[in-house]
Amino acid sequence: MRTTETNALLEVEGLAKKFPVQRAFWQEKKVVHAVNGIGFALKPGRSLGIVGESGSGKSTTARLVLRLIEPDEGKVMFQGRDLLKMNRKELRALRKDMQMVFQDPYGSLNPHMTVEQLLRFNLKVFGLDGQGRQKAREAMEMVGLPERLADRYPRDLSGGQRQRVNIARALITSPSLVVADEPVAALDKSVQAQVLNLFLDLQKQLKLSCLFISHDLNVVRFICDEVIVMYLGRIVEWASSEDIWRHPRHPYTIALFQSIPQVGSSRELAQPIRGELPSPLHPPAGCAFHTRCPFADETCARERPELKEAAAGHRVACWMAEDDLASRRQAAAMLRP
Amino acid sequence: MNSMSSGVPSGGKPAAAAASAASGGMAALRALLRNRWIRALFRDPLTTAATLFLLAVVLGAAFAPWISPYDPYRGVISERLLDPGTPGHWLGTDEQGRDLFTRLLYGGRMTLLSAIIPIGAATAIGLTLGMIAGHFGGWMHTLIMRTLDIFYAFPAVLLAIGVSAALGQGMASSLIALGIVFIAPIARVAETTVRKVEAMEFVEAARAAGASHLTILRTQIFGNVISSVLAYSTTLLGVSVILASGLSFLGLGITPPTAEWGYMLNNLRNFIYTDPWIAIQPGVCIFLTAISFNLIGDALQAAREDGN
Repeated sequence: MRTTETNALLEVEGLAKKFPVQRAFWQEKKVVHAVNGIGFALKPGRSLGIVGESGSGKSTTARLVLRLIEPDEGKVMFQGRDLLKMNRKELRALRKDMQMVFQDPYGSLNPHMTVEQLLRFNLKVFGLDGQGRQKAREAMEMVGLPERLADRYPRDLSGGQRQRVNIARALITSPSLVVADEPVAALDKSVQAQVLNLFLDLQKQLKLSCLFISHDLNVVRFICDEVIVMYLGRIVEWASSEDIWRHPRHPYTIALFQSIPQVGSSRELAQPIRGELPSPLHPPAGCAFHTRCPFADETCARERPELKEAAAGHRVACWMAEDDLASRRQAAAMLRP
Repeated sequence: MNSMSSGVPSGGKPAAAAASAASGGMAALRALLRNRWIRALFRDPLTTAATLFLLAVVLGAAFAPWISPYDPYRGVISERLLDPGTPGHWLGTDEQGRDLFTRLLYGGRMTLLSAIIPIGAATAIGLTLGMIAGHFGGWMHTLIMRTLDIFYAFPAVLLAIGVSAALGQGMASSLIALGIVFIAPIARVAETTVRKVEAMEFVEAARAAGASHLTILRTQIFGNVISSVLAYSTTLLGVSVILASGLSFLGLGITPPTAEWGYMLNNLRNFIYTDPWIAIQPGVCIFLTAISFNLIGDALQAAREDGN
């Protein structure tokens, strides 16, 4: 997938990662293509959401982008430099600029370190700990944590407070890129709203570029300017947030939106996507979604569609979406109550 | 804190200083009693007895010359094998006429050394090896763990005897042999714990923050591994006592006339039918010491689990 954005903060091309799966040594070596040819670009100050089911490869993508896992193939250009060609020292120095907010508020904080120690650790790694105490306090203030929590341990904090620590920790080195891996998935809905509002405020205030991974479409709609939908390790749709909500084109995306439970709608039940997620060890031939797609035909079963622009700034990987009229009809058909 | 206004001579100064020292001491004592680990040592009557017994052994070993006037190495042959309760020798004398109580006190030194030194060294080495193997993985893990497996395959006694015999007689060689025996099990516990900690997200977070391997090991891994490893090590103290005594019993440990409980047991076993109350004493001491270490190790391990 070639991108034409040359002023992008982050550009990913042809990223792929496979994991070997072998129950016992006498069984054949199987491989899961967790991420299979991903490409996208993120402009400075923008936020990009990646949505998908568990197993779609979105968390793996997040870690590949930061090179926390080594990709098998592909290019990751951050600030114009290829991350994958750097040696360990250069990469470590660059981490100051690209940080991650983790999903698990309980496991992502060292239980033996106080909040202040946790925040200052990230500073110390880069020798930025001069006036570390003050910087830690400022970071806490920025995320809305009361100062008295500075000497507390993670076990004394609530889930929402821990996630604020996570966010503060990610922001304390003033990165230009923040990757958030399902940062609110483990929180209660009421707390989710608070943390998401915080996230949005900070993003606007600090002009952060943000890669936001989530399985929750409502969350992504709230936070992100652009959205990528992943299925079995590939991108099936990429468009601006507004566009994808108003006019989803890929059958999977349409089905995802349909499956969101709506309070007070005329539909009584949420509509699950029919069929089961195919085993990532044996992905279907042709389009990976064709086994569950109501519009699939023989082309879909035979050949895999590439990600192509179906409308301005709106890319889809679907044979059926090529004809604008056809996709409009199909979208209308599927969304009818 | 006391603050004295400058230039005001006061007759109450020494008294005030003593009072503040005393209150400081009281505060320290109270802090000590609040300490989780200290409280664990007195958690029930049995554990308390174990703690007190070990304390007695330590104090006895430390202050032996002041507690008993007798020479532990040279005895009066005419006074051999006196029964316990004989005036002047409340535990009796051994086969060379040496006062038994004195020999036991001095023997305590050897026993404590043969518990603490090998375990201490094995913990330091085993922890390091376990952290390297668990953190770096790959060929380092394979090399370290498979080499340790070779040592692990031997029964402890056999390994201790073998190494000790190869190194020759003497306390040093038996201490080294015991240390080697314990490296493998401790390293294994360390490696398992490290792997568990490595899987936690906060380690990944530290890596994402750009920390180097050494920094991660030092700040994230070590603190979370040390308590498990120490809890396991303390359970091995009793084993070390038994093994050391066994080595001395077989003549592989200390050189005579050093006082050491296992060696004493060997010398006195010929008299078990004629003077049983003398012959069993070193054995009883070995047994009580080992059990006390075990009880304390259990208490500390329980205290560690409560803290999590």
